[in-house]
This record gives sequence, structure tokens and C-alpha cells, in this order.
Amino acid sequence: MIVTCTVNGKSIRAQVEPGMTLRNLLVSLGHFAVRDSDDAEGFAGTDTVLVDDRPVYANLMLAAQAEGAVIRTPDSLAKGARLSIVQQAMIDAGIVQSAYNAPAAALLLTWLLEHNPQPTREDIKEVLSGIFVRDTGYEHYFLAVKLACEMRDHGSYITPISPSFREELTYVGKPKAKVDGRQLVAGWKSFVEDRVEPGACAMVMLRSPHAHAYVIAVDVSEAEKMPGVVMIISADNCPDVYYMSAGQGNPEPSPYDRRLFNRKVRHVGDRVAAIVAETEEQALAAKAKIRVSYEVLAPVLTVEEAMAPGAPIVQNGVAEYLSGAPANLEEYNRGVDPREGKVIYCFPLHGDNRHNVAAAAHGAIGDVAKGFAEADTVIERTYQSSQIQCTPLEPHVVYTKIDNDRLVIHASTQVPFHLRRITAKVCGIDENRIHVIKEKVGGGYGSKQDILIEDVAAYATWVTRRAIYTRNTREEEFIANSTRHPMRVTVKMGAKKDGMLTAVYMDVRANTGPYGNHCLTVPMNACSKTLPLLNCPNMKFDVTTYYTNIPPTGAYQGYGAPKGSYALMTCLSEMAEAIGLDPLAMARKNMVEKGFMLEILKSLGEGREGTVVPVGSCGLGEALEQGSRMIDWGKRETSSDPDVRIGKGFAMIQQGSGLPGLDHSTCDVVLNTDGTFMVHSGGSDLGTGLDTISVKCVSEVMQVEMEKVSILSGDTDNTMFDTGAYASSGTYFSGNATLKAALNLKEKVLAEAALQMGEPVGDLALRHPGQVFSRKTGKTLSYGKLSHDALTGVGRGQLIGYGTFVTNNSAIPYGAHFAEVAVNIRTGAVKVRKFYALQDAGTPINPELALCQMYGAAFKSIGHSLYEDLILDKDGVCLTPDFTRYGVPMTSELPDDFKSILIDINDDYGPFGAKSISEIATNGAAPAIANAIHDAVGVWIRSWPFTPEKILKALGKIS
Amino acid sequence: MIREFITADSFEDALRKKLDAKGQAHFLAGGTEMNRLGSSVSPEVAVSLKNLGLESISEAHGIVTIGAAVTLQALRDSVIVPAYLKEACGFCGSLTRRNMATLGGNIMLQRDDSYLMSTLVSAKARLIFADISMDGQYVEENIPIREFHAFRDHFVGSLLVSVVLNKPTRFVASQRFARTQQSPAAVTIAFGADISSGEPHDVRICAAVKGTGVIRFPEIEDGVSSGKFKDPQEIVTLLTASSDFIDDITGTAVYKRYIVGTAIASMYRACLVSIGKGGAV
Repeated sequence: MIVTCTVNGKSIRAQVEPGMTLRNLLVSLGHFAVRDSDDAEGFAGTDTVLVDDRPVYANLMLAAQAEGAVIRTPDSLAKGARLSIVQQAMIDAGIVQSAYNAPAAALLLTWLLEHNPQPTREDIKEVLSGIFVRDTGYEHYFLAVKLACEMRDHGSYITPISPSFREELTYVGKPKAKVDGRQLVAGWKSFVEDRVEPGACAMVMLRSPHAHAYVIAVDVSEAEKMPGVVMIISADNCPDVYYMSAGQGNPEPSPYDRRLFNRKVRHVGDRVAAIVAETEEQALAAKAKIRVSYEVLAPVLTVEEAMAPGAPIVQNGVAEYLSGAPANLEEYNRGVDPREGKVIYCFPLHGDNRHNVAAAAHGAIGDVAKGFAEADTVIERTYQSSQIQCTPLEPHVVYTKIDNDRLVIHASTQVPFHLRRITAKVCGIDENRIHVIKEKVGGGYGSKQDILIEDVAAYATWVTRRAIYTRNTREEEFIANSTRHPMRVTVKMGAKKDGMLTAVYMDVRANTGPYGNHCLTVPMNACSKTLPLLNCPNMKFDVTTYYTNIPPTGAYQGYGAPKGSYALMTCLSEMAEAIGLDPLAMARKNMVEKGFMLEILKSLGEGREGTVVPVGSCGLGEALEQGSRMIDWGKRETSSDPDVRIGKGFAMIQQGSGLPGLDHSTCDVVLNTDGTFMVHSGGSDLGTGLDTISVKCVSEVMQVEMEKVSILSGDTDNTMFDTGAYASSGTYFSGNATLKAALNLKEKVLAEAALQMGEPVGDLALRHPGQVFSRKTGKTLSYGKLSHDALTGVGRGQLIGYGTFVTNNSAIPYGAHFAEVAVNIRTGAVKVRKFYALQDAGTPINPELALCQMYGAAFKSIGHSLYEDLILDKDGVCLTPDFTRYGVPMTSELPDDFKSILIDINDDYGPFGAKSISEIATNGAAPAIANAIHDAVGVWIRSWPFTPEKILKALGKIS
Repeated sequence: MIREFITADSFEDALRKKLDAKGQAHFLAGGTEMNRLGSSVSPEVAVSLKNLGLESISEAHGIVTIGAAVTLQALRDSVIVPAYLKEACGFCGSLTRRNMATLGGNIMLQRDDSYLMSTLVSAKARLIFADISMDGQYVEENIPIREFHAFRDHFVGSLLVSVVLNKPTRFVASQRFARTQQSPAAVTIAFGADISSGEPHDVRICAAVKGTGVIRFPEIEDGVSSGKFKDPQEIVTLLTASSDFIDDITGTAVYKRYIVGTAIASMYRACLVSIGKGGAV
């Protein structure tokens, strides 16, 4: 049928199929910024357009419904290269980060201002109610609207965007537009899906309906005859290569316990076969023709079930060790069913797969038994956290192709170099045959540290030589993407009457699900990012991780820390109650301060002995001080509603900045022929502004405007090695590598200038706007002339600065989060009235982006604490495989008063004194809210999420 | 998958086109259900109601008539729609979805987490349907919404044309219980009563309960109307014995029973307050 409509002022007459969605029509017309995050769920808003001047979801509308309509898409806002006021304000406010739906948000805010020139906070919340923002929270959207109004009305901003830091610096510590903000907010080509060329094949996955089963047979005979089918891969024809999906340092602290396809499926949604065909429709049609027979096994879904004597065994394969094999290995492996495959350890993780134990670790300082004996009060409490989904707006997606007889992978990944290594292993080729190009990442949060679809697509392309584009459906994101491990954490704590802790013991039982990616390191993090907050002399931990048949787990922002923090900080408050002390006083008595030797770190290395370091820069005390003032700690608030009680709580938090001793970053900075700069950073900016940090480092050192510095990052052909963006490593590791490269280049520029100017190096300095200046003679030499002359036939060649960064020094960020909640004792509903996130990020290089990440992470954690839940039935089937049922927070759930505060403190080791910022912000909400609920109504809620039903049960209203 | 898209040019035309498709057609107004991931309907033929003029809201003599294709947001924006219905439209938390979802669509689906059904039942709305009778004649009928609720299957082929509300004579309140504004509600419940005599009577209590459906509570309605309850809190106890609820992702049956009882008691109190009784029976 024919549809006539107007799109962005242009008359369109298009032939459409009756069932075609409006989004598909618009994308076919070139409006690719109308993206899709939810497969037409009508939730995330990435597909928002204006139809007859009303915001609608283009995926929920048939193209046929647009007959006669006037349509506006997000790409209409910029006029050529000139952004609109709203778009620019969004960049300046810091909210254009992973940005998959930034164009849609820009359209909504533009529409709002067209109809309501002076909107209130509630007006803005209303208009954004249909758009899901995971990365930055919503707070700076209010700022962006304010800025846009000011620019419109006054020609400049009046409201400060963020605080600035380090007066002596020009770029670092100042809010400056994110370097990739323009392309992201305008909806210009940025993401993997934008790189797909015509003729690419589609790949879809046949997944297991059973949580635990042997795959008896995969009959693809009918499917292979279907039109357009290129290849079907299953356990029958995939490489016999064991690996694991986590992009971690090599050798990995996770077992190799999977192949591309296994003869046993271990969760509902596990891979059974991949179908590659000319089109997605053909691939789906062929998928429907595959016949699979299973021998269904009983699943285990919880730690308790996995621990039980006689429990079904999830990974019962042959155990192998690349080093450190136990003496009884032959006996251990006797009689194993070959369908179980293998579990290969690079080094011992103290796993015991015959008993569902994937990994274990133990450690202690002092004498815990003595500490408990000396205590006046000892309490022991158990806290349970649930399985949480990362929910990146851009699902896992990859485009693979052959170019120049090499495998090219356009990836949305946090770990391009690990991705290259793992796919090389799977494909059985050398790394030089693979080129990974990290595209803009439309949300990762840890889940894109895992190689979840790239391995299969890469192998299929390598074998077939066909380009392949594939992306997870939103349901696949819920059932086959890495998630936050459910954990049961028991804390035993002893204290003297005065509140001083005498002993702390943490017993962490983690549920890794079907595979062991991150199985040691995430649970270890529950201890290593929490126990070092306390100055207690006697501390001990036991960590045990179990295989089960729940959907896969893995990395998620905060790693294991949010769960450990919830347990430890809530228990600290429970102890305060037990001994009759104010929780804040209790925290102050037991917190670490600068210079305190963190002995506990010795036993908290990730698979090896850790390094004991003193507490360095530490804003913990200031965060507690300022936060308690802000929330009026100690003052009892009341509500006019007789059913509502109000309470306050807080939590101390910390994280790390990368993995000292494990992480490695490299960078080079090239002086171009015209005196501008090109940065090649191995680091992976996943939307958080790492590229901007790199550019700022170079601008600061070389004394040039940021516009004179361009960057290419995360490209395995064109940048040097970097372990990737995880464990809060970006700023500290990749940033430091760039800083070192810039300093190296500065040294070379001065040396070259000394030769060209005929002056001693010691008399020369760099100054704005990009020139060498002689302090002695006053002569100047522009970078352009310097570079040109170095590159003439008689010059000494191109100037390139090189920097590589490794360290054993820790740059630990600290903070405190405070919450005020209103609890309805009649309904059990909890409303977060106030949430204050105070964090020490050292020198925040991008302060506006840092604040937004704090808002995003804190709000995400409010969601985890109160609403989000990946619920399985007794057979392991996910009952919440979409945004709506899963329950992510939106504008309606925002705290009434939400503030992020950067505590100003300089770090000794970070680039320009910077430390990490965003992961730590996921650690505070659960304990702060749990403590506030207790303060309000006197009950302790010891499991995520804190639903109204749990509150009512705790209050004795229901049984 | 939609294989045919037809635009109807009259009510009768819409009905006959749907009949012609022999069960494969569905009326299309907003489209939030038909095109939605995981939709409960999967027709091959979409019969668009776009040209039927079902987007109007009018008021005469205290009677508000709302076209079935009026969107939830248009209801929120209207100055003549009763406040209780505007509030219920707000249970749909997304402005963008409210711009698409229609009053008629929400009624006809009668979902177990329906935003509007319980409110409309409590408000004693009337529904205007167009239909093709057994003998092939085009007919229109005006029925109370309770009849639609009780005999929903009778209206599967019918075209909901409009909703009629008698504006001034009833107290109507509703509450929704969900983890987030946009999560599926465990319970969406409304309480309506005629308060013209100074006592609540002609009471309608209706709830959309996840996993159970849209249900009424006749015993409680009668109890409130007859003044049986000495204290609204007695309703909570009464509901505790009910077995109409099931465990699901929104909560256990125990929770749902408790929350239904608590909500009815609370709205009953509010009703009493509205007639100057200070929340006591």
C-alpha cells in the first residue's frame, strides 16, 4: 500500500507493507536515529518521534497509520553541522553519554519548549516519562532545559553547569563539551548498527527452553534446505575450543567452561544453534525448522539448592588445569559423562565442580576468634541480593565481515583487545588476522565486558566469509546477557560498648549461574571493596561461588561491591542499634583515614596475593560530614499523612580505580603536520567521557584548545593495547597512559624546538595557543611550523609521544550516600524523598559528566534496591523478560530532592589527581535505604528488592 | 502479523469489514496493543477507526460523552472530563504511551492490570456500542459497563463508540499498586458511591487484580450500601478470607488480598470524609 505523509517538512510517498512499523519506514528513509531499544514494547522511548505534533513510539505505530501525518524525527533538529540550542545544552549539561536515546530525548525536550517555554521540574518529568535513561539519571536533564532556556532568552548560560576544580588548569576539572557529544546527540552515524553494509547476512540464535538438559540431537536437515540459509552452527560442527566469555586479564581468573555450543544446556536461553541466512526473516524461518531433542535434567536455581547434598551438578565436566593441578585430578575426573565437556582452570580457583563450586577464596587479618571473644556485643545477620539486569539501551550487537582476508569486528564492547584475543582463540587464528573496531557503546554497565555474541558471529564470518549483523532481542538481553550475581552474604560483627569493632567476618555465597565468567572476582569484590572501609584489626572472609541454572551472571557496574556494601553497611547500622549508638557515630569510629595501612588487601588479590597499601587520598570523612549536614542527620521528620513514617539512613562506600598490578594501558599522541594532535588511545570510552579525558590531558599538557586534538580509541589495528574499560580503570589507567604520552610528546617537542630555534631546552616552554616560547629571548615557534619543518626532507621526522601505564598504587575513591525515605505503614510503599550522593573522585576531570554518572549509578541502585527483579519460575524460566515487568525506575521514581556532590580532594597517583567515579556510586543506595527504612518504621529489610510486600511482612501486617 | 490494513468510513463499514475477515481482524485506534511486543492480539487485518470521528469529548446537562478513540492524554488534558478519570489515566505512566493509548482500547482489552476499567465500573459508566445483529442489521445500544464487564465475550465483535459518564452525582476514587509507575500493577482498584443522600449508597467497588482479572466485590458493595460495616477496617478482615487471588511477579495472593482490603477501607474512609463524616461510619 502507499502511504503519503510529511517527514521533517518533506513530502513522502512510500510503498509499505501493511504490517510495517512507522519506525521501519523512517529508518528506510534514512532517519536511522529513530532507534530501537525494546522491540516495540513501548517503553524505552528510543523510537520516539512526533506525529502531528504529539510524541509517539514509532515502533508501536504502523506506517499505514501515518497516512496524511506530519512527522518529525530527531535528525531534524540540527541544521547541517549546527546543533540546536537544546542539543547543545544537553551536551553541556553532561547528559549525552552512552546516548543511544539522546536524539529522542532532544526531540522531546525541543517539543516541550515549543509548547511550554518555561517548564517546571514536573513538566519536564512528565515529558520524559516515556523515555528510559539508565546512564545519567534524569537530574541534569532539568539542568539542560534550564540552560537551553537561558541560551534562548539571554544568548548565554547563567546557571553554572557544575563546579570547577584546579584553578591552575585550563581544561582538566572544568565542564567542557564532551568530544563526541555532537555526533551522539544529533543522531549522526555512531553505533554498530550504523556501519552495516548492504548484503550483510543476519544471524539468529536458537535457545534452550530448558534450564538444564543434555542436547541429544540437533536436526538441522530441514532448516538447511530453507531459502537463504548460509550456515547453521551447533555443538555438532563448532570448534572444540573451551573458553569463557569474560573480557578479563590474561590468564583469566575464571574457568574455561564453555564452547560456542555445548552438548548440555545450562540455562533457559542457553545457545543451541546459530542460524546464518541472507535475511533475518529467512533465518527465523529456518530456526523454526530445527528439531532438537533434549534429555531434561532437574535444575538448581539457588545457592542453597546448589549446596545441598546430592544436588544436580551443573558443570560436571573434566577438570583441567593449565597450572597448579591437584594431585588427585585423575581420580577426580574418572567416569565423567563426555557431554558435560570440560572445566579448564588457568590456575587454581579452589573450585570443585563436582559440588557445583565454581570458585572459592578465603582470607583474614588479625585474630577474628579473639576479636569476637573481646566484643561486648556480637551479631550475625544474613543479607540476600537478587539477580539484576544491566539493561543497556543498545542491546548486544555486532557486525562482522572479511576485509583484506582479515576478520573485521565492529563491536559495542568495553574490551576490544580481550575481544580480539578470545575470538582469535575461538576461530583458531592469530590475533593479527583480526581487527576489532569499538564503535560508540550505547550502554554497557559491565555487560559489554563479556563476549556474548561476537564469538559466534566472528566464527561464522570467518568460516563463511560472509558479513554478518546480529543483535540480541530485548528478551535475549534478559535471559542470555550477564547480570548481577545473586548473593547471600552473612556478616558477623563484634563490637565493644563504645562502638569500636573488634572483629568482622563475611561469608559470601554467590550464584554464578551456568558459567563461571567472573566467578571469583565479582564475589571477591563484595569483600575487597567493603572491608577496607573499616579500621577493624580482626577481619576474615570466606567466598564461595556456586554454579546453578539461572540466566548467566557477570560484570555489572560496581561488580560485587553493591552486595557486599549492602550487607556490611546495614550490619554496621544493626550493630549500632544493638549497642545503642547513633549509626553515624559508629561509622566515624570505625572508618579508615588517610595513612591507615590496608592489611586486608593482602588477602584480597584477584587470584593472587594482593598488595598492602596505605589509604591515600580519602574524602570519606568529609563526605560523612557534609552529607549529614545536608540531610539534617538526627532530626526526626514527620509527615502530614498519618500512615507515613519518615526515616534517614546512610552508607560509607568505596571502590577502586582499575586493578593495580593487573591492568595496563597504552597511548600515543601524534603531532600532525599542521600542529594539531591525534591521540591513539587503547582505552575504551563506553560513553562515559574517557575520550574527553584523553583530549583534555593532551590539551592541558600541550597548551592547545581541545578542538585541536582528535582521538581514535579502542581500535586494535590503530591503537595500542589496553585491558579495557572495566573495574573503573578508564580515568586512572587509560587517562594516565594518555597523560604520559602527552608528557613524552612535550619533551620531544621541546627538544625539536631547541634544535629548530637554536636555544637550550631549559629556556623553552609550551604556551597557548599551541606554540613553543623562549623565556629567554621571547621568540616563539608554532607547532605547525615546528611539525612542518620536522617533516621536510631534511627534518628529523614526525613527533610522537608514547605512554604506557602500569602501577601497584591504588587510587581508591570514597564517599557516603544518604537517603531519606517515606514509608507507608498501610501499604508498605517506600518513597525516596531525598538522596544525596557525596563522592571523592580526586580531581574530577570532567565534572559535569562525573556528576551525571553519579546520578545515573545512584538512581540505578535505587532501582535495584526497591524495584528491579529478574524473577524465574521453578523451571528457571524468566517471568520478567522485558522492561515493564522487570521494573526499571523512570522519572516517577526520582527522589524529590536528588543531589550529587563531588568532594574536592587531590590524589597522588591519578592523572591530574583524578580517581574513578561511577562504579562506586552503585554501592550506597541499598544500605542507605535499608537503614532509612529501619529509621522510619523500625524493621530491617535484609533482601533486595525492598518491595511493599516485604515491608508489610516485616511490619507484621501480612504473614 | 498484519497483512491487510483497511480504513473504515463508518461504524457499520468497520463492523462489516471485521465480520468479513472472519475473526482475523481487529479494530485499530491507538495501536499500543496491536503492535506491542507480547500483545494479546495478533490479527491479520487491521481495521482503522481513524476516520470515524471517535476522538471527541462533549458535555451536556452534566453528562460527559467521550469517543472511544480519545487518547488517555487527551482525557488528561480535557477540562470537562471528571477528575477521577483523569487521575486513572495517569496510572499509565508514560506521556508518550498516553498519547497513543485510547479509552476504547483500554476498556475492550479489559486487562488484569487495566488502568481504567475499575474506575469506569465504579463510576457506573455507560458504553455505547455499535454492532451487527444476528439478522445482519446495524444496531447501536447503550449498556451499563457492568453488563459489559459481566458478559464481555458478547461484545468481542462489537465496536465501542463512546463512553458516557454522569458527572456530578458520584464519589469515585481509585488507587493503583505497582512497584514502579510503569510496572504491571498488582492491584488497580476503585470505589464509587452515590453520595447525593448524604450516605454512601449504590456502591460499586471494582479491581483489576493481576492474574485474576477485573473483579467486583458485591458483598462489600452491599455491605457499604447497607451500612453493615461499623468500621471500614472490617473490610480488610473480610477480604483476608477471599481466595480469588494468585501469586505472580507483582506479589503473592496474600499481599493482593491485603492491599485490596486496605485500599477499599481507605477509599471508603475518603468517601465518608467527602460527605462530612470524618472517615467514621
